[in-house]
Amino acid sequence: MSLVERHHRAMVRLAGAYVPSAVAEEVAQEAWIGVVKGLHKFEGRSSLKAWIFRILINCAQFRGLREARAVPFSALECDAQDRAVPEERFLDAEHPRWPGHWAKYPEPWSDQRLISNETLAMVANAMEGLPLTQREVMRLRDVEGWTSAEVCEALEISEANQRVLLHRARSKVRRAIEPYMSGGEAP
Amino acid sequence: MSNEASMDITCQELVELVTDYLEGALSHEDRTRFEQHLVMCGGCKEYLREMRKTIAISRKLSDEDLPANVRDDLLALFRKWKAGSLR
Amino acid sequence: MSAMICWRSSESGKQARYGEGMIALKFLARGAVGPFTGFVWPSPAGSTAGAWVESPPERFPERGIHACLVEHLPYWTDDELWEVELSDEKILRSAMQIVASRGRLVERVAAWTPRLAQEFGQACALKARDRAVELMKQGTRLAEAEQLFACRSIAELEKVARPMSAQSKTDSLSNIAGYVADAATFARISDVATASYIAAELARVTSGSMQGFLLERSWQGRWIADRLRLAHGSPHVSV
Repeated sequence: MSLVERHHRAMVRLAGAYVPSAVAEEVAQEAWIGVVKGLHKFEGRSSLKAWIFRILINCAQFRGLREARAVPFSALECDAQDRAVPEERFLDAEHPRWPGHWAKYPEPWSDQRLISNETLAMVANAMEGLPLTQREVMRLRDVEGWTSAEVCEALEISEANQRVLLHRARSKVRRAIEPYMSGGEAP
Repeated sequence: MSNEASMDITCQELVELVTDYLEGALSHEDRTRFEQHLVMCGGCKEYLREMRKTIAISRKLSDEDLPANVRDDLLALFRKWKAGSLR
Repeated sequence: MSAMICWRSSESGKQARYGEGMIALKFLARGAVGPFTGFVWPSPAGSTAGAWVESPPERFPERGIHACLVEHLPYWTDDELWEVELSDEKILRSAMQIVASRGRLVERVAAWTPRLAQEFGQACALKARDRAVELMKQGTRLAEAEQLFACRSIAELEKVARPMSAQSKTDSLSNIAGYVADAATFARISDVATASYIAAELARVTSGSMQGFLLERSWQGRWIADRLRLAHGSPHVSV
């Protein structure tokens, strides 16, 4: 089966999450044009399939913004390392009923560990590991309790950018403490 | 047969929208879709709870709130990590 | 914790249960708690309605008091069902709910019990089963149709439908069995909201349009209304 045949239906389905189905086919075709044009630039850092789907998502987002069913923008701007949750935690686009749904629900967190010093230390450590601006935004908003307007003014960034940074920071910190909070061993 | 897509957002989309939701930045329509998804997805309900708990824990890192002995314990643990007992 | 929502709760001057505003319905988590915010709603005491809860008018409708007309109920099922009085000043009606700027709890709808909720979930899964049986008969999968039809309980339905769905990822009738199995799984654990959603999704997928989804939700709404003896289509409750 050719590359196109193998992926096209899944791409149309995935595009259907962003645009009305009448348009999804068009979007998938636009994406293929993007793939052909860009193939010489593919560096092999991700799998070919992931790269093709990335192009598809970009096309779908762009169209989606103009259609009624757009997913809010800040949800869409992320590459693999910025994902709040690793891709493999979700059912892939080929799942027949629930693509994009949790493959397994996250384990509930222990209330005991919620109030422990270890957890506090882990959060502090996770924040230290963040890129500078993400750390700054989370520190000012969540630790120091500044309003978003105050943070935007202090760091001279837009409201939307502030939210994206806050989102990435919080997501990374949550990920860092998740194994321990759901009952794993303390590091 | 055309297949009209669902209006539902996926869990994968939801986890990227959580901050917008908590900030009140979603439109009325998007907020409704977000909450409708929560109603029928225990996994995402749990994820939102975890995000709120993460924020609540972060609040406690503010110097003013920490009693001195807790802060000292924290700094000690933190230095241990930095010294390389993790990763 | 609920930093994103600013509720201002003010004392109610009225003794009466029913004031000037419209009466609608609202699902809450156990303890009259908002399922998304954790906000604890002021409960009625005796014949006095709970205190009014307001949301900032300048943020309406992004922030507001959400409630249901009867047809919206299947979308929001939860532990407790309440009658809520909404002030008339601003009411926005959207596809799945209504939004007002002020509301107060009037009375718990006692008929919505965990038992009834569970029955609802089961009814939704069984309706999904019936839909699958019809389609399998049309698709001449008669043996499987009979097996599904013969199931006497939700647990049995789940056990029978699950292997049917594993047969093939691309065959649509196997996938339909998958929806039935999924609906039965969630009905069995009394995750009623998820079971009802899956049944509606099956209707969408087999009809090819959102119309199918909405019709199934309408059926679900009528089921609830009938069991609660609510006047169908009317926002007012006469229990």
